[in-house]
Amino acid sequence: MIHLNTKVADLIHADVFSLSILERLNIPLGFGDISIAELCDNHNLNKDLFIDILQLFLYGHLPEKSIKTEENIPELVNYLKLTHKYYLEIKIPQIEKLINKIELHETDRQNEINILKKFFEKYKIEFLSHLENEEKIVFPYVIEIFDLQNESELTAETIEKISTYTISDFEKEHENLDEKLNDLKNIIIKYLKPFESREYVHQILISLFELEKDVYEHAQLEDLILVPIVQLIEQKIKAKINK
Amino acid sequence: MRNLSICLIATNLQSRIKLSEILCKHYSSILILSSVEKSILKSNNNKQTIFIIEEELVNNDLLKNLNINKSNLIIIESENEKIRRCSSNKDYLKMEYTEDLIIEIIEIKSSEISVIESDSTISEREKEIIKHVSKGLTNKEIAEKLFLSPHTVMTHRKNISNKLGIKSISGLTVYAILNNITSLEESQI
Repeated sequence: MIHLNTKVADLIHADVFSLSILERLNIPLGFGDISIAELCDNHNLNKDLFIDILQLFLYGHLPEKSIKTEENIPELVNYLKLTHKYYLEIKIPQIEKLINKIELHETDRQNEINILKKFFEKYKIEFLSHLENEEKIVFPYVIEIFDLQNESELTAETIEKISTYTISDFEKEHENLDEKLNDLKNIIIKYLKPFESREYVHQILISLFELEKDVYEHAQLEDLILVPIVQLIEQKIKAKINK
Repeated sequence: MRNLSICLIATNLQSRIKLSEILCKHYSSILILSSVEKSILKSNNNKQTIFIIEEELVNNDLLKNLNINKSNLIIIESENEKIRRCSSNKDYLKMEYTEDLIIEIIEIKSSEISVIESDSTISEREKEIIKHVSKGLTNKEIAEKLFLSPHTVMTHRKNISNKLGIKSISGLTVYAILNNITSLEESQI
């Protein structure tokens, strides 16, 4: 279990992939013996939210005493946006670069590499479109709802807007982005005839495993924390309107 | 001709004639018996064989002693009114069924046996389905092309995904191209 007193160094030892969380928050290594609580203070992070995120990432479920308050919404949205940035600027290019390296190296398997490239390109388009939808529609909506909860007066325009879209609409559209990644993994592990540049193929596989896990945890954060809190706020606002 | 091993055991002459005509048209390895020939059945490797047996002949001893798995079994429903069953059960067939429906029932069985036996070889029928999936056809369109029901197509697709570990259409397309089931030009990738 992760506690606020856990040393950050021990966290990394427990799961090296937790480095990716620090990466997207722009937290460098070399933090000595500080605890997670101190790390949060140093980088202006909400402690409860950070523990939730770490716990979910390391153990696949939220802590029993997960505190889901409305105040955490803006910071959670910010974290989700940073995660998108991490996927776009680091993880996806990482895989693309490896595919290109294999392409340069394997001159007589161009057809197969072409097919893999096309598959990944198609996946990237779907992936980007999903991220864009969240950035352009879902996150702004969440922030707006968050700001509205403290308004005493709601304009007719606002009331109409709220009644046409709720966070449940987003929940329904939540696609299975990790499915295609899993397919690609199986294709490489089982069905692709071995390439000479084994090292690159292994690295692609590892990156795919990492991305798949991250995307899954990302969806969990949205489903288990974001959506329930926003639904609560929506209910509060609806109650206000009905008064 | 499909490479599938089928054993038909029917005492009724008419049933035997009708079914063997249908089976011989579609499958290359058929054993037809007019009664339970224990010696023959015991000597065969029955794991990948589909058994089509008259209801009256089936009992637990038969299954146990001859090492016939219930999941390999299609029962020819008895004429007896008392035990009439719902016709949508895929483990039963009636003699009134059309040739297409009888073949469909056998095809589903064959897919399921492969999955249960952890045989991850893709059958010819499954290859056909993968080919059409990679061309972008819907389940309905594939069903029409292969003279199957959409339900059968969905069952095949589920079995294919379980065997290969590939769920998406693009994933199946890549698999199809890598295994020469289809080409890049023909596919929708």
